[in-house]
Amino acid sequence: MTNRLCFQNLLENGTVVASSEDAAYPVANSFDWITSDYFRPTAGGTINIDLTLSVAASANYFAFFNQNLYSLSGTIKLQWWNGSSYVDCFAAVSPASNAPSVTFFPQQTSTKWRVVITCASVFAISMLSFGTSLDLPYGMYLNWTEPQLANADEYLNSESDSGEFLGTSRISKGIKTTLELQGAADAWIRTNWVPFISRAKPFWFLPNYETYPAEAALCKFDGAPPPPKHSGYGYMSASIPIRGLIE
Amino acid sequence: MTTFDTLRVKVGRRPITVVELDLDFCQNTYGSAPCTAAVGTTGSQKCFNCFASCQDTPNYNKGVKTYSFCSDTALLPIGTNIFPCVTDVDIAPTQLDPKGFSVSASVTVTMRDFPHHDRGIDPYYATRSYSPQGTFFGKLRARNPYLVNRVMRVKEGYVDDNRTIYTRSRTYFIDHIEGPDASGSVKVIGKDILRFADTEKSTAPVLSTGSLSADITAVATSFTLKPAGSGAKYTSSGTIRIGDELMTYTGLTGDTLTGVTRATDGTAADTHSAGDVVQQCLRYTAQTVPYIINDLLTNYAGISSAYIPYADWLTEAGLWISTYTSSVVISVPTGVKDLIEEIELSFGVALWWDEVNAQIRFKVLVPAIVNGTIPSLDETGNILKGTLSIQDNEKDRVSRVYLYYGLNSAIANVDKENFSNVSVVVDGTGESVNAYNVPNTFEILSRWVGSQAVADEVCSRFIGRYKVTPRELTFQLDAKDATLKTGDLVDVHSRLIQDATGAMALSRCIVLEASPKDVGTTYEYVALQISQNAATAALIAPDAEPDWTSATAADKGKYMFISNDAGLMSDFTQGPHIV
Repeated sequence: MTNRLCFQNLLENGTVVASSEDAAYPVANSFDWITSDYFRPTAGGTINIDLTLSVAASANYFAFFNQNLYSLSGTIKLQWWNGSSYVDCFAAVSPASNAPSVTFFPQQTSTKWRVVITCASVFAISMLSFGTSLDLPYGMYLNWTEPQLANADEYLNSESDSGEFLGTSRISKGIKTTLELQGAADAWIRTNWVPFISRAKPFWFLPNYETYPAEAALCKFDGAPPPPKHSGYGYMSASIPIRGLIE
Repeated sequence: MTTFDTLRVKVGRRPITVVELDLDFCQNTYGSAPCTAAVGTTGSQKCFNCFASCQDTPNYNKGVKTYSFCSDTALLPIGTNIFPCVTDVDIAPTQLDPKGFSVSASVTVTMRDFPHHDRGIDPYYATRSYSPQGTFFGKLRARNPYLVNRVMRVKEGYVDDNRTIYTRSRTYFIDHIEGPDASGSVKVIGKDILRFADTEKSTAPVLSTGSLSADITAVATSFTLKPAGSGAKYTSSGTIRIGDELMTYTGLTGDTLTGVTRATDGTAADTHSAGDVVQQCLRYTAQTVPYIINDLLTNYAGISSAYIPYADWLTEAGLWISTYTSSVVISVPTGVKDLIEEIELSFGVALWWDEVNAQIRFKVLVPAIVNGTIPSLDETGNILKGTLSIQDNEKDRVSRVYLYYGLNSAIANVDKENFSNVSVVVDGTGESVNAYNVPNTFEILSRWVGSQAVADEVCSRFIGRYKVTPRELTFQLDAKDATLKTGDLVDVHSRLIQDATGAMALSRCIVLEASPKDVGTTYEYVALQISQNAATAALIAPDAEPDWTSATAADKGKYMFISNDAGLMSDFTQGPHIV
């Protein structure tokens, strides 16, 4: 089981311009990590979201969530600038659902990136992200629940005076599980873990991206993340409660 | 096709509550004609398209911007700016009080404040000189200080698999907002439209500000008002009060009243001094109950006619009280709510806010006529476990009604000693030693009732409704059964309600309150059991209907059965009386 975290978002580091933008739904809504606001163009068609960085940066993942492209037959892809033209990082994706989607591709480095969304109708999308991913040193422990199975919904059941079942309401609460870090070298913690924790933003979590690449969750810390502890000489571990969204 | 009702009855439904606030919002663009505002000239930064920050108020172009919030759920509609910050919705439903003004519906919505970037809210966020700062509600309150009385809606509903929300809306009007407090909590309190009839908000007639410009004799038929221009606030003809004298006038020229007839409506002519207030009076002459209530609500309480289904009111009144009219003069500014409450008691009618349909309902209090199917509830398939309770409201039983009418003078206070007539109807059977053995008296003081016949009829209707101790039922239902509304009839079957043999007895009730307990999941109702023994109005049964002994409980409640000469039914129980 290979765990992968995706939290760097180059869109936060440069200038972002959309080729079409509804003033009430600006493009900044698509990379602010808030899932309740949206980017919408003013009309359908091919919409480019261009990022320009002052310093070249690398990316090997592209993620999106909370969109209605799947119901509007839209497609989405990421391109990088090779110095003379935009080149696809991967073939355009046609979302089949609203599930969080993370696509990995051979790492590229550039100062200019372009998200291309093609949809005949006005679409909406609330979360776009790309950058470099981070692999955890080891997988999760036994007795750990993976996000896809960690449903935290509340159920309210109605029962009559004579015991008959009358109905059920399901209150969606997303998922609730933990992120288990183990066997991480002291240096790895300082280089990778501290920046991840200190940014205090949501992140994409793929607990087994090789076997189940489609099982991604958009997660956030459930309260303050506990600091890592030494679990062996030169190695540290931590168990971080997380909550998240899957479809 | 997916609808609110198809999702409501679905097992595994996903409830969601949406709260909408309709706040004022200027439809102009800053600095674009007709707006003449300019940064550096009219202000140091652009406005927020709200009146409080407007830099060109003469050209302020008021529109409505709807702010949407919802309960904290992981499934939100895609593509809509809706803030998942609602932590609690407490709905206090309309309480139908047949003996007075219904208790207003209200709602308290508790929300969690949050940092917000202003995108989608501030139309000029991109041009601000500051970085996004502050919290959503902190900024909302600063930009919208005038939000009282604006429309708010609480929408209870469900999310389907495509994240589309289907809702049923309840309409209120913002009363006030509290917070954000130290814990980041914000409360929005809304009330129903009848609050506009509260005494401190509206009176009828409106207080007049004109006064006599000079002394007048007891026979003067023309006089002038001051200050100059006061006449514009008086009708061209009508009734006025100066001191304890009422007068009518037929003309108004500028500030001068002409064609004055002195000492009308049982008052005495008198001299009056310069500076005495000239109060415009409100006069109704042979007007119907719906007309008067509608006039008070629309012309004095300022309630939009859009919320008043006047045609329905006329139909209801035409069915039961078509001959009731009132001739009244109101010479002192009186709270509209107080006046309507007088009318409700005088004629046995009820008025309440139907927050689901956003309409003011009007109903004459008559024994329930069954026309169509009445929903039937039982403990097996409907009533939730442990939620049914029954309470006898002995204090609401009535064995005699005194209705005082015929006010001695139009300026007399509505006190018992100022009435010249009284109608008395007594339930002698109920007061007898073998029955309750104690009188319960209900008094009505009415300046609106004008005849003995009407007074007697109203008294009889109150006796008919309340001669048996009213029983109040409280119970909860799953959303699948939650279709009852205030004022609806419902049949309840429960082991807690039995006849003399111990068999379950049908209890026919009228719903007094209906409110969500867990919005979208369970609903609570308070219902008043309707007397089955007296003053029962009913339909004539079809030919095939069996006699009383063999009739079903439902048919006994629906159709008319006649007792024998001894007053007994075919099963030898006491039959109903024609009152």
